[in-house]
Amino acid sequence: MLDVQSIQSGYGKALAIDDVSFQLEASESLAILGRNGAGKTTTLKTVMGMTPAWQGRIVFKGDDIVNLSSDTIARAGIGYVPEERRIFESLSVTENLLTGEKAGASGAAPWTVERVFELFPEIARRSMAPAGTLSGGERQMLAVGRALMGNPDLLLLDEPSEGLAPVVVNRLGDALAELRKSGIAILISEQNRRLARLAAENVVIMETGRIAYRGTFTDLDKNPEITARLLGV
Amino acid sequence: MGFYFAQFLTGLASASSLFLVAAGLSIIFGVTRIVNFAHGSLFMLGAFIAYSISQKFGFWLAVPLAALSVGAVGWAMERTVLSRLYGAPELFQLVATFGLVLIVQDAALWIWGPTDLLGPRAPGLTGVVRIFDQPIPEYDLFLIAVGVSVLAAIWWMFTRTRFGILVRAATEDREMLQALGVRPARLFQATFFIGAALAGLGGALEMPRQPASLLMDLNIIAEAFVVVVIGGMGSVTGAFLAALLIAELNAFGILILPEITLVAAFAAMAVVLVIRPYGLLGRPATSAPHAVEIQPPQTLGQTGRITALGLVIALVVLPFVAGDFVIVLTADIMIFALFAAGLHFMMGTGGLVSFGHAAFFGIGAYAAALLVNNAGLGMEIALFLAPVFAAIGAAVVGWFAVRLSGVYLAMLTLAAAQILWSASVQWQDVTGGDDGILGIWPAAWASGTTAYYYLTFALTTSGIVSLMMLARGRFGILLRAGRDAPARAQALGIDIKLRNWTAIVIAGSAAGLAGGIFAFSKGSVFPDTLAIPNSVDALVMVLLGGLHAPAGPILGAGVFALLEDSLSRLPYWRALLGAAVVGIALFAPGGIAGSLSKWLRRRREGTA
Ligand SMILES: Nc1ncnc2c1ncn2[C@@H]1O[C@H](COP(=O)(O)OP(=O)(O)O)[C@@H](O)[C@H]1O
Ligand SMILES: [Mg+2]
Repeated sequence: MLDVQSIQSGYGKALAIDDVSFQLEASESLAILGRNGAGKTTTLKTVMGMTPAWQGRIVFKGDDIVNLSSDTIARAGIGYVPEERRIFESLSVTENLLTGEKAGASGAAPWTVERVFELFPEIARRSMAPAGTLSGGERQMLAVGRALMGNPDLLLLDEPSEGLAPVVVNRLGDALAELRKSGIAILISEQNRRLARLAAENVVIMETGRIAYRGTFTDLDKNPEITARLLGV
Repeated sequence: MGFYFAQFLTGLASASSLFLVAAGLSIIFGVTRIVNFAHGSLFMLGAFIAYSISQKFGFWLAVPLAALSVGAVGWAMERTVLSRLYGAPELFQLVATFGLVLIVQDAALWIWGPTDLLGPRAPGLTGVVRIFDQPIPEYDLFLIAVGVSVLAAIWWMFTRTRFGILVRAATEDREMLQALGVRPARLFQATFFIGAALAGLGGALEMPRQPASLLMDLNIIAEAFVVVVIGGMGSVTGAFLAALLIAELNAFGILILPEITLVAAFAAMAVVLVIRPYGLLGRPATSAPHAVEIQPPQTLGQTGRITALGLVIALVVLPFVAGDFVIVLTADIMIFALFAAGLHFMMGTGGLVSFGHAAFFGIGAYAAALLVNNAGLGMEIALFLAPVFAAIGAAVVGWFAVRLSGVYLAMLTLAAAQILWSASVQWQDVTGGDDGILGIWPAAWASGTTAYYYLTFALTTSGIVSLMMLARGRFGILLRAGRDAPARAQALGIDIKLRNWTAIVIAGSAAGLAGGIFAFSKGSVFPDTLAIPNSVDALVMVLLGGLHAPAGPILGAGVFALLEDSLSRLPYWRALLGAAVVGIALFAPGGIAGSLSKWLRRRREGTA
């Protein structure tokens, strides 16, 4: 479904990621691990068309989407949950969800405000409140819910656990596991391995802008020295 | 009591149109981050179009049709010009909308002619009602109702429709909204249509109150700027409150001191900005993305230095070989080169836009004239004090502007120039109004064409050279750092606000010196030294010459003078200037110097 072929990108003249490739089949999930500054965010943003790819191809469901505008990419069926969440603070929770509302690429629209509220009852209780008053965990749920309102086939999540309390991370992990069961593919960047493995079975590890390891979590568990070297744990 | 209440209602009625214009301006700014200087022009078009339609179809059909037509004009502006500039530096967006002002101005002159056109009164609302025994025009009450209804309608749209929710989201984070799949182009077009239609409605509703005239555009835009700055950029409710405030201030101010109503508005804005820097209901704007690297200064190369030397020699020997006409023309060019050099310094090196730079030129000219005529001082002291007064004016405007984002400076300078201009026209006792101040002649030793030419040469050259040295030196480096990488400059401990403020004051005093020299060279001062066309001339010179070329203002002033000499007799010369401004913003942001060096580079690479 998503075939990222040797992409390169950066900021100004500074290179941030180089020769990054990975594949993702429909309803499959992949985690990108890596330390701060490894290039995870840049990779997701390049897929999303928010930073330009200097080289390489990105094929989504058979079409080349590299360097298309981000709205075109979103309408092709990719939902994006940015690292900073970027919810619209002056809008209410429900209004935030409505900004993401659109039919999926296939024309179907199973996600509604009600269904998002079923998945995240925490924010349902705050539906009329300005989103700026939400807690960190609630903001993250809102950002995920907003992306789901666009009925994506693939969900990009950039470090969803960042800054969240362990209980909230668990809660998010359950929700992501549930989403996987419903058939949405997930590409998640994380430093929290526990959440990453709840959300995905395959993993790539990035180091200084390049892919340094690829495999499954099961394989990774057998090689603690890789984790120690690339993730420093 | 009854009289004051009537006056209060008159104020409310005037607030309506002002609110409609300001609301449109604010909505467009919120979504596109563009301050549409042509918004007053849309208001003016609304009045003219409504007049034309009303001649055939009557008042009540004319109002909505005019609003829709102006909406379409706004949409077309967005499609043809502004949509090409969303990625461009803010400065070029501002400049392009400013070019549109000039084009619309002449288009209106061409279509409707120079005379004011008084439209029909509103059938059914021509009478008066008595409230507290005072006659209140029914139409005023209608206008108040319209203002409140439009506010309610906008509120409904913003909270109850998907379009409104998207507009509010875009005001907060456009990039995120796009990543959710929302097409920005459609949102921008719709926003421009609605914003323009509101301005058109405001203009159309003025029909029974004031005739459609070619002065409406700049008058309303200055006031609308004051309103959105007071209300908070991007806030419609803020615009409503501020429109009320300004309109009431005008309604009651006119009872006390008719000459200073605009000045009072400006003072009110100053007070609000001191207390709430982002306006009553505004919030700090998320700053636009900036270049990451600090661009190096462009300096005069070997050829440049030789040309400069040649130019200086040519200017020195000119009076020996040329006649009076050429000498006076050359002196004028030097004066305007200094005027433009100051603007170029703040715009090019500092990235600080001024659309009302003539304000400082005019302050210098009037200060010189009044010091000689009223205070009885000599030319030398007057020429020394002219830039000082202009610097004080620039310090006041700049003090507010540097606390806010770049668009505020452009708006505040334009508003300041417009206010000073109306003050110079209205304050007859001091300024002589439209008759100006006459008989300002140089001291005996400097009188005569040649002597004054050399004085002009000495003052303007030293002014321009000082500006060039400042731009190249340490001050210029720090200024550019603030322009290109404000976050980093701040982190390095550079006080950007202080630098920018200083740059504005320097640019203002250069304009003031030019204004002072100008006053003595002409022997008189008129309000048009302060008027918008004079600001536009300086702006065109800077852009034409090249914003980032050191010789830009000299080249620009020279070419402009030649063009003006040959083209200004054409009937629609202002529209040509406007088209040139838009063209430069769209196709040749480097001006003549930029295009020339690009062409030279390409040729060199081609032959190599
Ligand atoms: N906006 C930016 N401007 C300049 N450099 C950036 C920017 N964002 C990230 N970088 C640089 O790009 C590299 C990759 O960063 P990023 O993709 O954010 O990594 P991660 O998400 O893994 O922490 C880092 O060296 C970082 O400093
Ligand atoms: Mg990151």
